[in-house]
Amino acid sequence: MRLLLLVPLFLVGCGGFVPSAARLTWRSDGNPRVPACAAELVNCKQGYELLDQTSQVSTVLPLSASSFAGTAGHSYGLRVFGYDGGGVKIYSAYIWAR
Amino acid sequence: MKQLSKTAVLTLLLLLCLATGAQQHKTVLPKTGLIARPMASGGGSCTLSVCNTVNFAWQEAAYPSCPATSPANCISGFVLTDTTTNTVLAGGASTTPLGPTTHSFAWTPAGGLYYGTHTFSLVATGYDGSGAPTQSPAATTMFTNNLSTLAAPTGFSTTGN
Repeated sequence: MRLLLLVPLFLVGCGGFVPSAARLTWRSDGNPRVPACAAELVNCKQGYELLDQTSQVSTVLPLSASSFAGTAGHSYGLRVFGYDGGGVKIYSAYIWAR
Repeated sequence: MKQLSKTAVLTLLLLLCLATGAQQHKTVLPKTGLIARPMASGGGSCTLSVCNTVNFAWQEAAYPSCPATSPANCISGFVLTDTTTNTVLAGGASTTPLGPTTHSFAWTPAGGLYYGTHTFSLVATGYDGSGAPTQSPAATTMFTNNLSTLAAPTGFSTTGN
């Protein structure tokens, strides 16, 4: 009986039921010569798309972001997006972190 | 009456002479007809996404080059400016000089060419008829370097708590 009471306490204490946090950080958008988008969505970069590959959830972040609070143990991909000379939305390749 | 009309004619001639003299001192150098075109490193044509140079060319100005002493009614050189970033590219105090017989300039920015559209201006500098410094109205041109791809972000990492 005493053991049954101790098991849940042990699991909560070790964080077994509560996902722990992971801090995602990045240095730059990788496109220093591309201007940020303003009124006209042409020849510019607009933001980041962060993909939680484990849960398949995407989050759009502004260009000013350089970190994100994620979930420990999940895999994340980060890419930058913007618009080409014809106003078509374009994406960089993903860079991955786990 | 005859004396009065003679005075009037003389006054008119004097005014005409003064006006002509003043005009001789008001030299305004002509526009230059600036154009810009892309150029890959080493010359020739290029795909815009890999362009690293903008080649500027302009027409010959219709004034002689300035002499070393007592310059007047002449051109001493040109100043080329990126007016989008308000940066002098050539012909300024600490940039490549553009002499009066120079009619082109290849601009290769350190770190690569910008993306998007920039506007450039060129003015001829020189001296007017009285020897005072003067400059032409600005000749302008635009150049667009179209974006086709984006590089991936850098330094992506995760740390668990």
